[in-house]
Amino acid sequence: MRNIAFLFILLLLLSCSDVIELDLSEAPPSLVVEGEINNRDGRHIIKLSLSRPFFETDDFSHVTADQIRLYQNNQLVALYTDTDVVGEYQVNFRGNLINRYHVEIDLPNDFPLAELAGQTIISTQERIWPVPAIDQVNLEFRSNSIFSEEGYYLSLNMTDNPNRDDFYRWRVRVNGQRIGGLDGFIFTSDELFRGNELRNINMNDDPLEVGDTVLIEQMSITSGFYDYLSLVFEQLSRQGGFFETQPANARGNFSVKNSGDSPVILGYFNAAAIVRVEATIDPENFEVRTR
Amino acid sequence: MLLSIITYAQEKNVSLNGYIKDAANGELLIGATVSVKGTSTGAVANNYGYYVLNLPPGTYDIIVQFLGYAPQEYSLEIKSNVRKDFELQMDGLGLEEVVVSSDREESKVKTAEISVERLSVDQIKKLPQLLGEVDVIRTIQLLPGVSTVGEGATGFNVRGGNIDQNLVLLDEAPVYSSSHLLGFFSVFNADAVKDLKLYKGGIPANYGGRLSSVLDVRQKDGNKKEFAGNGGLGLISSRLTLEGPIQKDKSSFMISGRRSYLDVFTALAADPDIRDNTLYFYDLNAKVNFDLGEKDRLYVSGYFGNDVFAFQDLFRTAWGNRTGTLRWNHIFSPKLFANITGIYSRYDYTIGSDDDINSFEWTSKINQQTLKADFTWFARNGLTMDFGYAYSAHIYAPGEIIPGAADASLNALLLPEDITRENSLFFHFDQKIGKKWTLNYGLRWTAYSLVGPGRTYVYEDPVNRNRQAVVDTLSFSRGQTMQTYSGLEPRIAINYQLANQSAIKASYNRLYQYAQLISNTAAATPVDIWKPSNQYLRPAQVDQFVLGYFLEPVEKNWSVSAEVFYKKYENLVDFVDGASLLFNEYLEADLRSGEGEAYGLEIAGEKSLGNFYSKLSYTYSRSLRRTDGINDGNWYRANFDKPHELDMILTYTLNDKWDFGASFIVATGRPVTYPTGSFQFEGNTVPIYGARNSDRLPAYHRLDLSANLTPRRQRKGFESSWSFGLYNAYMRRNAYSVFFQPSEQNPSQLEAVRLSIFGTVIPSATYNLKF
Repeated sequence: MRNIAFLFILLLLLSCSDVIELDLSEAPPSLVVEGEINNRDGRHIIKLSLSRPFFETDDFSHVTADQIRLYQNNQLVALYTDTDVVGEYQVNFRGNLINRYHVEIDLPNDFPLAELAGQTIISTQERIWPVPAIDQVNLEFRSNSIFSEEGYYLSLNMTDNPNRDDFYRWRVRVNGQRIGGLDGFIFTSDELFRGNELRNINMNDDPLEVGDTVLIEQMSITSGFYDYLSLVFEQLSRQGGFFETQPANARGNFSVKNSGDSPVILGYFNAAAIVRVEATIDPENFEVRTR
Repeated sequence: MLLSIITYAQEKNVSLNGYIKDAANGELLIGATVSVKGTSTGAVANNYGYYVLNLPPGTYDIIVQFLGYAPQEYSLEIKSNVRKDFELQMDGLGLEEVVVSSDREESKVKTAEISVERLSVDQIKKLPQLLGEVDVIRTIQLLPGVSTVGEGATGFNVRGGNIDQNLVLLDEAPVYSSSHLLGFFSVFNADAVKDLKLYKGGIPANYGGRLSSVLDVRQKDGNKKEFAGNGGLGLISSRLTLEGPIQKDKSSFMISGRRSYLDVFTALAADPDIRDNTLYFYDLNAKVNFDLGEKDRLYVSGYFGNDVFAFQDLFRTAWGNRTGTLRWNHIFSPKLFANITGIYSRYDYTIGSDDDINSFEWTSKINQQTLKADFTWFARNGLTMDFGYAYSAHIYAPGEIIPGAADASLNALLLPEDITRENSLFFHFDQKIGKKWTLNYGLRWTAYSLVGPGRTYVYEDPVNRNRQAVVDTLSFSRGQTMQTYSGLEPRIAINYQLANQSAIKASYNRLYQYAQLISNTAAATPVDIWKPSNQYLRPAQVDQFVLGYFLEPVEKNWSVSAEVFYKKYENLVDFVDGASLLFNEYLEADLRSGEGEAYGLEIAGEKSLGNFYSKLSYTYSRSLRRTDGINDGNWYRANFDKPHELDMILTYTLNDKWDFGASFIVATGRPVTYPTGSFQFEGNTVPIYGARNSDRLPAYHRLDLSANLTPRRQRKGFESSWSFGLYNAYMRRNAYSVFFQPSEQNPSQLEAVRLSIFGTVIPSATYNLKF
């Protein structure tokens, strides 16, 4: 939709944009929690930080927890331990398919946000859904056009499970470096594709070069995390055009335990199953390795 | 007072009745008046140009007049009922005698009509226009109480109402999308339009189905005297209108076409990225009418318009309206006039791609068929009654996807249609009581039903509906009633004439609306969905109160009016944060019904001085909403809550060669939601937003200028003229929106970016011809 608006405006050649000074009101900070559990990695990280005023340029401040507990099907299975980084905690545990996971976090009595001091916060239960294999990885050379720069592009094919509502996400690393920013949001629901083979799902927007090594993760995600990603992506990609929806906050899945009226806690704890492939860009001899 | 009514009724009157027409082309003149010279006895021609003047037998000096036309005087001996059609000449055609009368019946001071704006196409053509396209809807946005959310935004907002609350009628057929190219140009080709009237309040009982306004646009009937045409070449489009008699004075036709041609130029480009694009719109208006003897007239009219946009094989979209009207006017007796109308209206869009295995076709449409019978009973001078019945059937088809290839990834998808039926009955009186009072009052009754085939989802929580929590599905067979609503809509307007050509007026109206446009963008888009009322979404309702003061001194050089209004809305649909509206079978789960309030003040003044004409209006208007489940249940501003707006129009006729126009607008910026903070997600800085619509864009202001040149030396039977324009003359960068992005110099620093649709002055030149 955004593309249509963009092209309309482009064709009219009359619009313009410029930077303006704006005074924004400042909301008090909120707690932000970010964490994931999956069925592939043995070590998982959870991060606690505070939100900041919009035009602030200082780093986000990190905050600490007293204890962080990981539960599998409501059974305590592991405790997170400290890392070298303030506000980051780790756990050694591999998730299992079909099982449900959540975390509980005890916040200290001297927690900087008074309404959360001494409280326990809890995430919703997230289930690890099975993820299908990657059927095929396609390498394509594109020349310059208004859609893409000249270079190499990877896309993949996969087949959806016909019996379930599925949500997928892909993460890409190029030479060990994760593709971030807006290009890091590749995700879909199977709503319009149920049970079919999805073809040519683009993995990169910036061109790749011969010799680049690319690691692709295909993930099953929960419907809650899909909605969250959609909202975050929407907020990050605003350009002010005709087809743009009204802003909405991405709320996440944490709340104060046993409280009907929890203060806003941002961030998401999600669970995923992952399959990985790796490929090196070589038009003569393109090989895909399962990792 | 009662006594005077009885005395009137007992008099043995005869009637003078007939049509009032333009002498040059036979067009019926809606709102022209017939009165007895020197008295307050008079009658107004109705929407079909028909009038009835009841008089005791005798000889009278009759004056026939209409704005923009030279009044005509006749001495008539009236012994029994007389059928007499009058013809008026346009002003400035060299008529020697000009009668000045203080008893103009259409004067705002005399009728009970309140909150009504009437515009002639000639007036509109004198004003500056964007890119030279004469535009009805852009022009009504300069009227008090009418605004828009931004440049290029579809539709218009009337007194704190959403754009879907306007009943836009073209020859009585509703038009679902009134814009081309998103909202840059309206679908009304000014060359095909005869008359338009906008009701912002005090809406008569003959109209229903939309809460905030009625824009009643009538197409030209076609010249009954001689073949004529006009056309023009503009920057955006060219147009041609042909009209003429089929049988002189008995029947005529009018056909008018317009097409934009940006794509004609892009096709010449060397770059295939530009060349292989398509972008155009077109309209076709057509009408024929026949006099079938003295008592019957038959009209057939239609509109057909489309916007088409395509980018190579990858993407194409088209949307448009089609309307058709078949109308039969019959005079049963001089006092009983009937209008039987069959109406068809359709709006549809398609989005598609022809790109190999990804090809698909997505279609959506709305289809309306209406049959109605309206009657006007001219009981006596000062008392007419309109009454009628209408039946409407609607089909709302929200969407269907058909994959283009057998092995496509995409599945076929069909969202269920909503089928509705509406029966309505109304009566409406227009009554004069004594010399001081005029009353309009009526009642409308509507019965609405949503019928099968269809499904109703039962949600775990029927109020805070969640699409993840559907507990049951009810199926309904074809024709089975799924939900019904009905209601009474009282309407009343009162005029009390004061001394000194002034009047105080008041009105109250209630209206129901059975389908609402669901949009979660700032301006509506062509793919927004009309959702009819169902078990969860009750019909929207408004109660509007208006109080006004009108002053029009006899000299007629100036007039002022002031109106205050208050509107109370119920069951307005709004979307929850993060709603997904397309292809959502559980649409009502993302929607909530809430209440609303709008109030304001409109002051308007007009003055003519020599060759100057000016109109100045100021509007103070608020529009607020409160919906459980949105904005924490607190009141919030509607998207179009723009408290202050000042509009100024100025035209100056220098001589018969040159005339000039200017319009100026300054308004509060529209409400928006700005971020109040940010948080980190996977290394991205994600904005956190404050309360819905709690901020505002910077103020909007704009000056447009125009000049029209009609060369003195013209070839015989062929008149040409030029229109020049400067839109946004002082190059104001009005913000359409403000968005935020990381600074290019320092990506950790965020900055606010203003998007202006027109960041500069836009000149235009149009060549017009008439033959």
